[in-house]
Amino acid sequence: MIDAKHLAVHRWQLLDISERRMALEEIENMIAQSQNRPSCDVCFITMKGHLSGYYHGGSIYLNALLIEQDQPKPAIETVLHEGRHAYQHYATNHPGFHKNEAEVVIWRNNLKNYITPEVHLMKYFSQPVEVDARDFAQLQVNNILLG
Amino acid sequence: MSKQNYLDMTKEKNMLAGAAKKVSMEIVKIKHDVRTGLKRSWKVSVIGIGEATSRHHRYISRAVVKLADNSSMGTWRTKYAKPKEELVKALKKQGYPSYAAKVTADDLLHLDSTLVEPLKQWLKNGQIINKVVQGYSIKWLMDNLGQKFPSALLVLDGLIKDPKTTTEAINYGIKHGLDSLDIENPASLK
Repeated sequence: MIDAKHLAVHRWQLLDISERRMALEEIENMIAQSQNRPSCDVCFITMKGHLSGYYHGGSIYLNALLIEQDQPKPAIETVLHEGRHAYQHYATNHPGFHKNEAEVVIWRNNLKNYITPEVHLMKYFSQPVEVDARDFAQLQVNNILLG
Repeated sequence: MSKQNYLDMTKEKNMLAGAAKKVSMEIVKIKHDVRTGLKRSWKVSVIGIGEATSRHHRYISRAVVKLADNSSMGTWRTKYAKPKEELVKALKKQGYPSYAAKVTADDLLHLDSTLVEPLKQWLKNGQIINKVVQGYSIKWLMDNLGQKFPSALLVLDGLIKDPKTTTEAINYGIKHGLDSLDIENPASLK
């Protein structure tokens, strides 16, 4: 069992590829449990270099290149980011799950008209679900890396 | 629509195109009601992007019409929505979903003046003029960040108008919340 709560850089560098995968899956399981939502499968697939990952259909897909990097932050931040999208989807489909109902309405409307980065990077970056996922991931990644 | 009213509309469209050429000339008097043919005196404010374009005034960004009779406003807005409609059509041809096409068209209509020429060329014949802003080029954004041309153009626009946020967006990396299947088919959302 990987201790995903304290995944400092030096520990990440000691892990092999399969252990790093397990660590990222453990992070998703840990966060999902703390949020009281079902955890997602974490899949590692080949993507173009500029893509970090995406959430779709209840699964998180990460760029396999991320787990080969010596620095754990990009991989951990991405799994947290995509896990937050899973949370947003769950919240929009389960009234009362997320306390801020107004925010859920904003997420729901945004998800209906989601803008992908290749068609308008700036609008993609500033849309509510992305801002929320980014803020969440940036906060949590430091908790994990710093223990 | 009667022939006379059509001619009136054409004449007034040309007046608006002229106003867009001279941005300082923002007020144009229109003296014919295109719907009823009645003579009226209206104030028309034209907000252009500062550059004369084709005789079809494709790039007039927006025409706000203030009428004594507000009920006529819809007619005029529809009439002068043409530049946006043309952009939306061009973007959809490039695979843009409807909503993204509308949002992107809105932003393209407010491009920095230094980026208007590449947009015009792209619309005209698909040619990509490789502009560079703050070290980022259109081709680099397309090749390395998978950007479609209009998005790359808007990134450069962002680098001119808000370099801090735009650089942040470029450097953050791309983490989708949904893939394109969801966008085209909202019913597939979980």
